[in-house]
Order: sequence, then C-alpha cells, then structure tokens
Amino acid sequence: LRSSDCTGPTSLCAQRCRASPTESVAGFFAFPSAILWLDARPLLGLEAGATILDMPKDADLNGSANGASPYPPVTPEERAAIDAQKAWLREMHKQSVAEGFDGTELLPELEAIAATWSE
Amino acid sequence: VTRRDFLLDSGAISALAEDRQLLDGYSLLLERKFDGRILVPNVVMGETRTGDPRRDVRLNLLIKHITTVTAPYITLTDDAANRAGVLRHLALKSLGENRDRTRDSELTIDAFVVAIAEELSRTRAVTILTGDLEDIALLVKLTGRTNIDVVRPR
Repeated sequence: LRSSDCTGPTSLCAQRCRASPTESVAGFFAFPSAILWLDARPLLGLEAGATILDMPKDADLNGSANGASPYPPVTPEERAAIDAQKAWLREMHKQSVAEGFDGTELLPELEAIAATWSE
Repeated sequence: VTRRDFLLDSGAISALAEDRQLLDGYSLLLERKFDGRILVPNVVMGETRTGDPRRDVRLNLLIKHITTVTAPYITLTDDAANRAGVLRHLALKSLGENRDRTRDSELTIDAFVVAIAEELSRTRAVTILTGDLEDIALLVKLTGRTNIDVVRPR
C-alpha cells in the first residue's frame, strides 16, 4: 500500500479494512503513521478519542492458537547475527571462567527471573 | 527456545561492565534459554561514552564481549523517534506536575529505548535491562505491549 491508497472511504485501505480488519491492522505495522491510523479508526470500530499513534496491542498477528510461535520466522540475516553472537558468547564464557568470572552460579537466579517473563 | 532480545540501557551497561560475572550470567541465560541477541540501542551511547580512554575501558570491554561480525547496536528509526516523543509526553502527563523534573531529560533517552523495544516487540519478545526500573516500566506500560519485560540487572 502507498499512503495515497489509504485515504477516503473508497480507498484500497478502507476496502481492505472492511474485508479483513486483522490483515489491515497488520498493515499498520508496516505503515504506522498517524494518518493511516486516524483514517482507520472508525473503520475498525475504535473510539473516536483513541490516541493517535497508538499501536495495536496484540503482537500475535501470526497466530499462536496451535502452540506455534507468535512471531515470524527469523530472517537469514538475523539468524547469522544471532548465531554469531551466541558462538562468541560461548567463547567469552570460556574466557570469563579462566579469569575467575564464571556466571554459571548465577544462572538459577536469572532463570527464575526469566521464568516470569511473558512471551 | 523463545525468540527474545535483551536491550541494555545506560544503567545496565554500567552494571554489566562493572560485574563481569553478572555479564557472563546473562550471556549464559541468553545463550541457553532464548533465540536472540544482546543489543544496545545506539542512542544509549550518547549518555554512556565519555571519550576518555580510562573511563571507557569497562564500556569497551562490554561492547567487545557482545560484538561479532555485526555491531551490537540497534538503530533508532524515524518511526521510533516519533513514537518516543508520544510516549515521553504521555509519561510526563502521567507523572504529573509534582514529578521530579531533574529526571525529565533522562526520560527522553528512556523513551527512545522503549520505542525501539516496542518496534522490536512486533517480531520477538524483548527484555529491557535497566538501571531505571520505574521510568522504563511506566513507558512500557504506556505502549500496551505485553511481550516487553523490564528488569534491573541485579
């Protein structure tokens, strides 16, 4: 969608809002501008006083109903960056142990904190 | 293994730079329990780096600890910068007239960090490690996102 597609009641954006509100809300993640959001509020049945630039609050647009991850797959670039840092952190851990800064004993405490985090 | 990134603010950078065992602990936690990275919002460097090599020694060690083929920085986008302004304004309104105004300037960087976290949270869970639990937690609450967690390093 271009921004010019997204204004007026007969615009492509408005048509898509009527056809598939969820899909259109997902579209706002890609185009989170005040104009788009303002234009869409009445179509989405939101209150007239809703804050402009409010983001949709549901991260789960990709579906986790069947236990699947609520997030899109990691891109190849992200995968490379994640794997590279993890490999490096393993090396850093060896160095930390050798220099007397082993964090292993802190893990249970940190894992207990992490267990309270939401997905 | 859940998709999750850790974001460090300036307080977390100081805490982890001064405590290598804690840094190693969080590194192990991420490496073993999550699919993600330790990242530093680039705006945080504006209140962290001094340019004095002696003062920056620990900071540089921390950055080295998490730097690989790609830099560990996450960049503030135009959308996030604008969103940060909205979040900061809402936070100031929420804190009210009787707030501690000496903290207002710090709230700007905090709002940048949270806006970046909010942007990331569309595609992953996020943990913000922060030395300023109160303000960051308020800003996160204002985003309405439920997959951003806030924790003091220790």
